[in-house]
Amino acid sequence: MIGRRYGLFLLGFAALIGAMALAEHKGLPRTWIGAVFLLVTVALYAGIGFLCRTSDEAEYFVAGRKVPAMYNGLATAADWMSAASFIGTAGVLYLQGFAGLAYILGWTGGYVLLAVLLAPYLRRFGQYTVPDFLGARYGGLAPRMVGALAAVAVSFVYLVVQIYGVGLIASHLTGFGFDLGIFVGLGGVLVCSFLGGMRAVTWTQVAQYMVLILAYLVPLTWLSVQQTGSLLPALSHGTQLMQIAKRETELSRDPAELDVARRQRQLADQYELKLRDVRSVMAADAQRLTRQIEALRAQRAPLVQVQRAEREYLHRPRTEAQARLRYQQELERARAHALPLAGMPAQAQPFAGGDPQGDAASAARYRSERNNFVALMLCLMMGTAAMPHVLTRFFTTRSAREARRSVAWSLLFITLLYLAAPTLAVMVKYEVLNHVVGLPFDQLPQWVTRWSRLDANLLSVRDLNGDGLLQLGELHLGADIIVLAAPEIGGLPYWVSCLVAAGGLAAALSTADGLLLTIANSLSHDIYFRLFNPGANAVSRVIASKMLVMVVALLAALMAALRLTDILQFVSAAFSLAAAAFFPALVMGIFWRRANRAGAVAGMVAGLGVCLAYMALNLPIARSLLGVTLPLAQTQWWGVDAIAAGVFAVPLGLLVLVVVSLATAAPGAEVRALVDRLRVPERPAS
Amino acid sequence: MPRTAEVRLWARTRGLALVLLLLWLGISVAGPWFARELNSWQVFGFPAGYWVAAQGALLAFLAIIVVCIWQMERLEARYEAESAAEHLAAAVPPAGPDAATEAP
Repeated sequence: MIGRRYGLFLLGFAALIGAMALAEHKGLPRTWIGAVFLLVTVALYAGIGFLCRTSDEAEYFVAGRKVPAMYNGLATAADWMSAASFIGTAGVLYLQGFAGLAYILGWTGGYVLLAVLLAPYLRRFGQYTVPDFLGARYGGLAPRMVGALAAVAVSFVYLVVQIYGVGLIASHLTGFGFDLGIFVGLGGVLVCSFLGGMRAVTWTQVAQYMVLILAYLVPLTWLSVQQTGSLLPALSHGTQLMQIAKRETELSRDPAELDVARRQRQLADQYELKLRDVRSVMAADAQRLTRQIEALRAQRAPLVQVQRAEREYLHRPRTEAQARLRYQQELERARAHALPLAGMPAQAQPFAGGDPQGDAASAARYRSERNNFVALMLCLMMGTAAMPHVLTRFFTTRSAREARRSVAWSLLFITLLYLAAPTLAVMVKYEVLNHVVGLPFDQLPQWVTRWSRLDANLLSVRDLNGDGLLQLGELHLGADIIVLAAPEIGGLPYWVSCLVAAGGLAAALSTADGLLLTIANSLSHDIYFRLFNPGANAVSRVIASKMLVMVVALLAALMAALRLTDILQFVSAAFSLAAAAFFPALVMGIFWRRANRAGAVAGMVAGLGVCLAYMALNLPIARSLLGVTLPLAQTQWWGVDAIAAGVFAVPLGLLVLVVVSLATAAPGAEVRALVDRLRVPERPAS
Repeated sequence: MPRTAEVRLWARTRGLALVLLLLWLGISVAGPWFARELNSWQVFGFPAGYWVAAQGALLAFLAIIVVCIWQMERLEARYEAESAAEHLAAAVPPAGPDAATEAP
């Protein structure tokens, strides 16, 4: 029954793709194709949400606990894979090579922890939320409140980023403004979560997974066939990797590239000088630009050149802070491009920043990169197993056994995308190194102009050595456009670009749905009703949660509209925070009977505290806000970056939990009975 | 004691969890840790260190979870049989048919 419905959905979606391919062939304007993809998919999601509307408590909070394992796996996969996974991962892999694989490993390995340590036991416990479990297992208000507040904080940061992604994609698809894009997407999210809670969100997420995986695999397979003739991208990945390695060696010895690198270094020195006296440089720059425009006009230079100069003048920084930020960014970009291969490490080389056989400094860089890789990976794994919006998904299956099985389905569906991401990065890199680098500037493909006009931070080119050819060192590609622009880079038709954008939108919306529900449920179910209104009936609980969904969504949209670009730092940080807050308390709650309330609260607070303190001392943005001046070498432990703070916070939280538990009274018989109940299957008990 | 079947199940569950977690930790830490050294070999046309981190470990994680499901379901079935046997043995009053209804 469900299978047939989703079969129909897939057929319908395929028909939409076919119709758009045909329409493009017949000459339908591009903005129309984009708008149709955006509106039809959002309408489909909203339609599923509307059909699944409910006010029943169990349906609203846990989809009636009757989601089959495979469908819960599909929904979890969509819930899990956010805008960052879909758009960002391949971009990071393109730019950072092997280092990006820490995300791939971290975001899949966490599911082992879920299957072995958490999912079946949480399902056996029942109830609705993760703080519910903490509250029942440890007793009293404190564990539940700390849990609920941590869940809200972690999920909210993550939600803002999703909505930011929705705005970015919607405006890319249709040419609507960013803010309008946010509100169209938000409409789709709200219909689901508001009308039907977990039930509607689950069934929409299943559809969204289908859209997002098609959107990733279609262009990837197409590129693979185009480049190697193989229908299996996962296998042609290896061949192309070797091709890239060859090309990388060529390029790193190319005299023109070396010359560009030298010029980039000079540019970096110039920006360093500019940063010493921002105010006067700003004025001088503005003057120089106006003179340049006048000169170009006087020479009757081509219109394109005049327009480029005018655009540069219009977009010049207006305040000192803006100018400082701009020069800082330019400085960092020039410094990166002054390195071999425009600052991108060789794709397949692990920890390429150093060399274990090199001198002492180089060997130290190698060790530090390796430590950071492993630390970040472990944090992401523990964070994955502790993200409240993912854990709640395992409350919706029929039984503990089904919950365990659905972890395997989830990982299978997630792995499909994470096997594809490094492959896509490699294919795009092959395309860029072989077919874009070396082109004359006046023959650059159209996507270069289009994206550089959209935002110079995403793409910019500049003929530094004046030879009229594009060198790798003269091309700046931002991580966020690798996936979105991949079809254009490979020369695929425009409808494929729209399909990819629709997939990104599905990824962002599905995660936003899950997060929104988690936040609203924590606020209403765990905080409001426990503290202020314990006697409320089921209907008013559902209504209150629905109201909160609206409020939280609007707040998040307002935050996203501020366009805090540095927010990405907080996303990886959110994983460390989730791991520190939940992982020890949840696992010990199941596996150690002796763990008690004092221990759990102390452990959670200590973990969160260490995590936050480490970030405050080491996260660049926090350092500048708080005015931390100690050098990083003194504030970092073993050279580990701030985003991997969880690797210290989790063991510390665990230690505190154990020590405080042992120092205080053992939990009562009731709690021990609860733990015993979690550990065995429910059926044959007396 | 009627609780022995439960105690045995939990001991076996913990043993299994320990083995699976050691495997998980071994693969996820050792793979990247020795990636540079592994890269001097080739698998499926990839440098081996890169392949482990990009594909091999992911498939291994999936395999670990499948083994976990298979073994846990086996342990739980065994527990159900043991527990039913214990109930029969400990059936104090003549309420015999009670245990028989448990078979699915």
